[in-house]
Amino acid sequence: MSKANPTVNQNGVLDNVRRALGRSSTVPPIPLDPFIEPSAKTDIGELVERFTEEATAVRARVYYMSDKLQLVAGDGEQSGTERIDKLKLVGQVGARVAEICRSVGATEVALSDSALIAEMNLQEQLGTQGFSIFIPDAVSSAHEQTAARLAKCDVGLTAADYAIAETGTIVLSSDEPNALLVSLLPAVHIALVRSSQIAASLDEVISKIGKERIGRLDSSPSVTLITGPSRTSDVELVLSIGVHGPKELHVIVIDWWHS
Amino acid sequence: MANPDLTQRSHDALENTVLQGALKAATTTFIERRRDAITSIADWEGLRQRARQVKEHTINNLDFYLEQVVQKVEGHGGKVFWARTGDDVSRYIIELAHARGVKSVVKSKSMATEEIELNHALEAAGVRPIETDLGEYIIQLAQEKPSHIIVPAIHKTRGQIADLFEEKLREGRPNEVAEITAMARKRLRHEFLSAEMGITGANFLIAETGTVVLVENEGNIRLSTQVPKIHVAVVGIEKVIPRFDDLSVFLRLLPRSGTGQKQTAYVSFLNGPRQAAPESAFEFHLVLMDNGRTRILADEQMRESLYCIRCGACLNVCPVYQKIGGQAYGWIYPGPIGAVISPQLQSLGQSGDLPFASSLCGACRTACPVDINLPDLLLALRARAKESGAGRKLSESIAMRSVAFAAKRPRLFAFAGKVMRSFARLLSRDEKIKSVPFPPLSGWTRYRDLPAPQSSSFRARWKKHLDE
Amino acid sequence: MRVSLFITCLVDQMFPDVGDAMVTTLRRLGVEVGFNDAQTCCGQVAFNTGYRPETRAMAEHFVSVFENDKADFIVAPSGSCTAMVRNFYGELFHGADDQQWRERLGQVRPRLREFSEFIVNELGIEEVGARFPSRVTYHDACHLLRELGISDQPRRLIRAVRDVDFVEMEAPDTCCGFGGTFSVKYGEISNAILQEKLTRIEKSGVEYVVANDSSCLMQIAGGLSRAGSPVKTMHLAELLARV
Repeated sequence: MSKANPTVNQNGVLDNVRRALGRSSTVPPIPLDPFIEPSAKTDIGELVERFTEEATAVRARVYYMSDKLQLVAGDGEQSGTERIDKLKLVGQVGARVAEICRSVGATEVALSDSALIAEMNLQEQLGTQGFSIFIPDAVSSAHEQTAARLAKCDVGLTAADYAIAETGTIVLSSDEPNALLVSLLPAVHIALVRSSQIAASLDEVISKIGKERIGRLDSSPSVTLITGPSRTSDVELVLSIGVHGPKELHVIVIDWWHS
Repeated sequence: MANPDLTQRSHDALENTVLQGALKAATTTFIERRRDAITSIADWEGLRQRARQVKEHTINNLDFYLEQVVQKVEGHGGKVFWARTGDDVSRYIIELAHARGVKSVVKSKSMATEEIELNHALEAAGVRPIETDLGEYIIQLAQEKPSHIIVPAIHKTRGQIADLFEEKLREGRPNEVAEITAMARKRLRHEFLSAEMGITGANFLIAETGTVVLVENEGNIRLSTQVPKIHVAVVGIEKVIPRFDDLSVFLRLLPRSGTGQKQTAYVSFLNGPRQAAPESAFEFHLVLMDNGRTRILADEQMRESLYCIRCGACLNVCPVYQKIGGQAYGWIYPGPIGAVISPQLQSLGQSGDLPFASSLCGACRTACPVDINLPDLLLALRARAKESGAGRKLSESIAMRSVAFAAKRPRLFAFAGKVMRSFARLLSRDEKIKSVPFPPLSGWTRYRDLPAPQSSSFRARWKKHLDE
Repeated sequence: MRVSLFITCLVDQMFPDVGDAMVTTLRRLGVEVGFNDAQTCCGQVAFNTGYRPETRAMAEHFVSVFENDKADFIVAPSGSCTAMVRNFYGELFHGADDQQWRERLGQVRPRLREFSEFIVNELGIEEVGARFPSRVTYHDACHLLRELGISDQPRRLIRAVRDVDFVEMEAPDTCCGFGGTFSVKYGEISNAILQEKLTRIEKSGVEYVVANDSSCLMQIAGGLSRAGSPVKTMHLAELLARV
């Protein structure tokens, strides 16, 4: 690569680097041993709880929608769980999303083209509730119009591919390029994430993203970690929420046994 | 005598009561938050040492990792430009801007671009740069330099910012912090949607995958890199880390050290242009900047200056920074790291006084997430300043040499001590010396008393009656 | 147990009472104390101001004074001077031709102890038979704390003093602003840092500030005196010598 590639030695910078290191050609180093950290085995319930605690601490709102109902016997004791059907869960998720949209006075809602959103049938449910829906096109020539329209939408709805319990973070690494703009331009961002995708810590998710997403030319160029709504303390260190990114972040954690 | 400019700037800073209050509040808050944020990591020290190990390895093999970066970024469809100087950077960006008809550029906070005064060059070339980080936006409007790496406008009160916005934006006076933020959001939103190019720096550049990593709270970086079709990242060559997995270490150290957050609101991993297809109008340009870094690299004693991840933790704990703030340092990089890299990126002649404006307390090293031995680097720079003559003053030189001469001759040493004590007793009253009329001790007595020396030294007492 | 005093030029010339107190205390603990009057100065100020050749000359003298000393330990009433020899002398003798000097330094360095470190770590003693019925606080000298890692030992010694009322002030581990020639070259900044320390001292309501470094004590005392404050400073050795 170095020989044919014209960019490698512009302005002699790489030469300077080599000379500074006392050599005339690059020598591949022995890589460092990987840094192994102990991973805690936690159950999903604990992960959801921790995620909720941390995300709430950074001003995100978290809602937990499960396909399991706790049955309560007459004496108030829990007597088991009953699985509710998928349709019911889908309806509950739709109702929650609609409620959030109504609470912010939304008229137009942008949806990213994600499998989980389709599974929850949100386009139809929100449409039925009277919201105008915008699903942006992936075509690059429409980019400016897409951005302008998204900026006018009141709510952006995306899925998240992972979440991190220790910091209350959601991870968007969708293959669909407009998901990031949908999560960024409207003032309110609603994200759906499966509880099974919540990892305990950052290093687990970094490892997953590294293996699954980055470095593959056919996958999404961009991955974003989102922890709470946008903020700044630039003025007198006073916390101000909602600077350039969304002012509100709502995370709906969907817990169900089906994939 | 110390550089009159630094002494004067420090004096101005010390007299500025608004600045003093702001510095105290900011540094105290960041110290507390950092302390709390660290408790959520079981083995903070282990993480620090690993980070240092990674940086050391990378910097010592920087040629290999930079080549890897270039290969990966170009593989994604991005363009790489190697810039030796700040002018190379500006010229490249201006040519690109002109070729693409770029009229305005949205910029995120980037020390590297401030280092080379990119905005100035862009403006001169008819391209309008807009700082989008709220703190940077404020100082751009005020035409000032930043006073802190993380919160650049911390030296301004909300009242001063309100006045500034009222004057420059002409949309009324934002009286509350929330109104200031809302006004900036609205104004800058328009800029994000109309700019043809976004320019950022990078917090980390991953060699294994060619990924640019950017950390922020406001969302302006995401907007600058996702909305305009062209993204240019100006990155110092030292920002490279070898593997994607290394991020799990650095992304836990950086937010906790810098702002005391467990995680910032947004972390973006960017892999080239948004769409790599040839017909796409999206472009990604990586500008790898030297601008004196290879000079530091060549200097084995100073090489660890390049490990810095620009978190700002050293500023917050530095007793000198806490009192004089960032602008007094005279250039872009303040605090202990500024005192170390400014004389190297600039020259000893220009900022060789900075390493001397330190009490060498070592708090910076303790706070540094990469365990850079800042005090040792400051000492090394002091030695070089004296060797090169840049910092040498004849009277001081003579004094040091005299002391060294006497130190090898105990009887002379004892005698000289006796003479000085006798002289000092002439200046004393009531066991105190209130004023010494000549430097350097006048620098002491201006603010503090000195004790009157005793009539006998320890060695005299030992000889007389302590020796058993 | 035999120790040789590394008295430090500052204590020797300006604060000899500290030296007296060290001798008194160590003898009370049954330690044989020696003093080699060929010693002069470790060169810390020259080193910190960037004059390495001059420092080297002083370091060579220091090594030659102590290398043949037969004492078990060399004890200093100063964290910064102890750190200078233990942590920084190595840099002065790092050249390819300095092998002999490194060996000679090796005769001295391992035996070097700061005063409180010596009593607690080497003698294993915390209660030294002192009595001082006053309210005191302790200031962590920067080099003692961060170069030598000593912060526990002085506190144990102070707490064991009979009838003492030991109070921790706010942020005791922050710099007093001395920093060697920094204190005169950048006197205004040095004083501004000092004022923060004085405020914390005042808030603590103590009668005495104790520290293990005469340079810090000189800085703090100088500020207290200028402000007309009744608070006094005291070296740890002076406290431990009180009965």
